[in-house]
Amino acid sequence: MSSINSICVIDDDKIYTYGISKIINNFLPGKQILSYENGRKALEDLKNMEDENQPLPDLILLDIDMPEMNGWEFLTEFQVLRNRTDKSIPVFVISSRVNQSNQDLYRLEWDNKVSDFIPKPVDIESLRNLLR
Amino acid sequence: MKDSVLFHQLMESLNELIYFKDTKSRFVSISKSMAERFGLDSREEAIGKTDFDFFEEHHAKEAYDDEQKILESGKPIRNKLQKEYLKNPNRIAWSTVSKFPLHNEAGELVGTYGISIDITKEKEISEKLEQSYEDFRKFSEQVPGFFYMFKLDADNNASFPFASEGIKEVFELEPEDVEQSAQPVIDLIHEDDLARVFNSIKMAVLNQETWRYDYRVNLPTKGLRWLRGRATPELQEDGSTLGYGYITDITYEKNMYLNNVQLRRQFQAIFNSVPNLIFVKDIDGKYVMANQSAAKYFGVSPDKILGMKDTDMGFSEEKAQTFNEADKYVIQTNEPLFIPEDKSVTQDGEEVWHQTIKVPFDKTGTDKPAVLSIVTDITRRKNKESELNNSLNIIGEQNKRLMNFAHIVSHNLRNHAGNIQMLLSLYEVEESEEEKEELMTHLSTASKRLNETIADLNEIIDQQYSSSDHLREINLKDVVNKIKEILTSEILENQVSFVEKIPDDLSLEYNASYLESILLNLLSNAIKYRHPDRKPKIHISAYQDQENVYLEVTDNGLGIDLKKFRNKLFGMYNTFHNNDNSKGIGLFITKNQVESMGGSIDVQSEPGVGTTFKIQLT
Repeated sequence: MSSINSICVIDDDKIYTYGISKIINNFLPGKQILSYENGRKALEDLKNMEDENQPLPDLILLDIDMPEMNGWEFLTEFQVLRNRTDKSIPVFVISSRVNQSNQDLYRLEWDNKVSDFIPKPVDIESLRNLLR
Repeated sequence: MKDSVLFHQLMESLNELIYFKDTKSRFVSISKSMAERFGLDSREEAIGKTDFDFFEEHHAKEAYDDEQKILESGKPIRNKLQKEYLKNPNRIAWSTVSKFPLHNEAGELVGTYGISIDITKEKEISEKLEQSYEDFRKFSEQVPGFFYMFKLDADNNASFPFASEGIKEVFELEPEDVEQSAQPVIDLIHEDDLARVFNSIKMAVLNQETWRYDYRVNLPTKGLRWLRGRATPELQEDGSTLGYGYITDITYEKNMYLNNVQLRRQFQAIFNSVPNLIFVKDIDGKYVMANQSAAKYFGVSPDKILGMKDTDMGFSEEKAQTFNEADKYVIQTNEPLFIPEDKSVTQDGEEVWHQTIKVPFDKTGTDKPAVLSIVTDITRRKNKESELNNSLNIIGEQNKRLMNFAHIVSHNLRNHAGNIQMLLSLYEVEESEEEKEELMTHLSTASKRLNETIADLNEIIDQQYSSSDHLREINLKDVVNKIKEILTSEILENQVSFVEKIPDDLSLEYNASYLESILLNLLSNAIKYRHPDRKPKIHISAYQDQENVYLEVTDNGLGIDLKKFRNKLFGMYNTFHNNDNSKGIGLFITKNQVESMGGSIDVQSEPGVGTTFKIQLT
């Protein structure tokens, strides 16, 4: 997907955010990377963007275990916003909770709301594929 | 008077049969009685006739021979018992006959004469008696036991003038052995019973009433036997007593009886000593049988319980109904019914549990169907179950915590390790020195975080295994002072002040390292989360009541929004301040330590004002 211009990373681990941003930049130089510590902060900003008619991000990389509002809670609230907008915004969940045995279960449960579940630590190739 | 006149009268009147014969055994003269016997009209008709005319040949021959013998020997035959075979009509008679040689006036042997006394009747009687006796003997052989005639004479000599064959069976003696003296029997009587046997006989004789007695004998072959004697005494004119009686061996019955008695006693002992309630109720709900434990449980005396109903014993109508229905069910199905547990409340309000088995029971001696119930008190077992369940719950809780803990730890380890890996791979492809330096810094942080996680992990594991060891009596004030010493630099740096309300003598039995750790955590948190606008002031108070020791630590720091974070407060790796120092594992450990010592911890807080931790230590 070369049409990606802005990517949203929601994760409370700052070192991880730093690293993943660098990796994304290596694949897609010059693109905007928005990072948030938790779901609440991300939602606040997204709502602002919506209100001020600013373009929403093209992709969201979402962690699960975060303080204040975790990934599941974010997803649930994000659906509301998503339904209001025409834009299709794929969400990828990247979490150390995900592993081979539960991947399919998660996919089934969140079906059309989450595009895929990716285990941490992230495999660079998977990330590259995701970004295309 | 002339002899011939006298003689003539004799011959005419005597019943005895008299005859005179010549040497050829021809009748010369016979008595009238004899003529009648022969069926003759007159005495003279017999003259010249012989026995052959009146008796069967073989008999007449024998008589003839006898007479010839007399003629030869000159010796009489006296009192010979003779069976006579008469003719006209043919019949048999018995006589006692005496025959003599007959001499004339000159002393010459001229024939024989004889006198015969008819004893046919006597003989018949005697034969009948013989037959009777024979029958009796045969009969007595069939009858077990021995019957007898017993004689006790005026000098107290005892004997058995008559003893049946049964004496062999009963006493291993012969009738002859006791005919003259009862001593052989007396010798056999068991020494412990001897006196009483004599007494009982004496009483019976004295009172002329039937003698009945059971006593033991020691027989040569059969050993110890029980006998039952019975006799009816009759006082005789000469002062002696005759007793007609019967003795039988009752060893078998006696043993059965004694066995029975013993069995009954054993049964009673078991029945009444077991703690289980054992009782039988009939289909109408009436008690037919109950053991002591049951009677005791119902609060009724054992002899009153029969015929009572459950309602008579204080059970409610409903409860009694339930019992009766269960019994009816058992009677209907004719199958046992097992009630694994049933709760009730005693009069004292205590909870008790029972286990019951009911079976159909038909040995009641009434025709009503009945049910036997055996009830066991399982209260102790239930209590143990309850304790066990509690333990299991606690273990379940601990397991949950452990799972949670394992989950959290693996998550964190993976994150930190993953970061290191990510940064290293970026470092490898990075060309810019500046970027490389930045990567290194982050790498170093990630590595530090990994180490911290591992250290936390160790701390938690250590804590899991050490709670109940190392208990000792600790003075609370001493511990507080010790912790304050450890935190001296932080206290001075931040100008922390303390208000303490701790009794000097307040001591408790506790794990020392836990107590220090708890206090250290609470105090360092209070200092760490101090309010930026004011100097930290920490209140520490401790007090105790009858059972427990309480500790309170209050600060004037940042406070916590409990509405949001109450649940997460004591969890692992949860932070709610945007403060990089806040890892949040401290309270998790504190809670575990407090709880493992059997206490509890609670918190009250107002954001911007401060926080109070309340701990029940014991």
